[in-house]
Amino acid sequence: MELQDLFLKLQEGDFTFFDTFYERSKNVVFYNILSYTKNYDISEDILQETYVKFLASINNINKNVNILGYLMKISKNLALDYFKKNKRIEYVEDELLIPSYMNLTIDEEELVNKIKGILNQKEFLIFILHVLNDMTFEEIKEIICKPLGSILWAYNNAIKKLRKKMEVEI
Amino acid sequence: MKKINDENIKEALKKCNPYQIKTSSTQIIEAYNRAKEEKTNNRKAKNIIILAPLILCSSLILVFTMYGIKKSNTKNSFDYSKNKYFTRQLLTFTSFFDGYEDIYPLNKNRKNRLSDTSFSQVVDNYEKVQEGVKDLFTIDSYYTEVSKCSFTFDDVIYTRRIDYYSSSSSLVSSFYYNEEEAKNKKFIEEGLFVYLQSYYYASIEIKQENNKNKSEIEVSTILRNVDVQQDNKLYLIEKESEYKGTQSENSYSLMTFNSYTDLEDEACLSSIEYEIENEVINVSYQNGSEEFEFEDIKKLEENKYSFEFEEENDESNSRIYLTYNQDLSRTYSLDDKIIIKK
Repeated sequence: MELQDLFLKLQEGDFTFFDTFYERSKNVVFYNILSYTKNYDISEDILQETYVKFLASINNINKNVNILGYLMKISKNLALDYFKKNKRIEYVEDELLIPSYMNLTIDEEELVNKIKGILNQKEFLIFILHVLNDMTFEEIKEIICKPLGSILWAYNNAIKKLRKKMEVEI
Repeated sequence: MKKINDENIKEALKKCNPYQIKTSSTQIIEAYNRAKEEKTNNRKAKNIIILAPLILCSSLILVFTMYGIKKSNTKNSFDYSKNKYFTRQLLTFTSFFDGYEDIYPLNKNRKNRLSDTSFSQVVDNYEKVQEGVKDLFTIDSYYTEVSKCSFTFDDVIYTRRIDYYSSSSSLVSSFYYNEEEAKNKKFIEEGLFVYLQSYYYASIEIKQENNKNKSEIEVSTILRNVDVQQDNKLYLIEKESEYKGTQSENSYSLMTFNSYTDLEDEACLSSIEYEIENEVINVSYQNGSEEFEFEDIKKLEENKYSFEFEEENDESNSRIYLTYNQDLSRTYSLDDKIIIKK
């Protein structure tokens, strides 16, 4: 079942589909949040808040809306609201970022943290969605509502920046 | 478009152990149920305005609640006549509005390779935005004149007027407003915009946020023709810029909606978006499911421009050259071989 169909089921009040809906959408939403917060723990909190807000407003959502795009927008606004309320939490130097969970391997977090410091928010999001989430540029275009040319342009710039600045031989 | 050589970077990332999101669907449902219960216990019997999080600039919602907002008494620190971002927004509208209605219908054969038949179609589509794009290159040379006035329109007396002039000193448009006093930097304004003998109600919101490392300014303007018989659409013009040290991005968009409901739902009829960075412009416009992008638009000489056009699923870019001739015609050339004159 497509994500959009799962959404319609949820809108009808059948929350048994929520687990599938969540599993299919969470990665994209999480990395969108991470592109703003640059912190895994905070992103987890905002991820939960995003979906709680989504469920609370589900009956008011237009059936025809791109539901993934909708979730992206909620999550972005919540991430930005978080910064307003907690102004002391600002962009942190990469060296100070602590991995979220000590029992987890930290490879991806370290590398992603480095990448976050090099790319701007749009470049980072597009890069992560394409590389880590295996999304096509067409799919990314549908979600973040940017022209395909802009997305390709941003991705190309991201690759160029990473080539220049990352220490890993690429 | 040239294939992006990103294999090594992809490999490096994929070799890492992937991060596993900890938040589970069960936790979310539990949190949702808790919130629902709390809301039921705390429910109050007054009208609540629910902010639709769909809107990217959530501040837009406040534009629609503006009629319920009382104006406060502290000093207004925003000067329309001096704010180049607001000026640029209005000029975005005047630059692209003329040919905007002619965009429909868009190229139906867009999946054809450029080298086949679509060069003429690309030219036809660029014709719709060429004047607006050309204006963008000179937009910084526009200037404004501010004056006091006492202009009554629809029972509102406007006391300030800004006239916008092009580099050739032609009056392009005017904006009437009143100096309001706002409590903080985030506020909503109303004004009257005049262009091509048409009057538009203007609703403007400006948000400015300063963090340690960056400053963000968002300006949103909604225009609605006062004569809905003539034109019943809403035009949303947004500007977003972000500064990090010396790095900057400037993007503007002009979107058209049928109604405020459609605007809240982001169901736009069509949109034009452009970005300017280091005197290079990227432009895109959408109409339903079809869209076109023109990239890397540059001014080479006084009357000569070039831009790139890429097709989806095509790995090569095509660079097209555009010359404005003395007889006001335009010549498009591709690879110095194919030439079209308009």
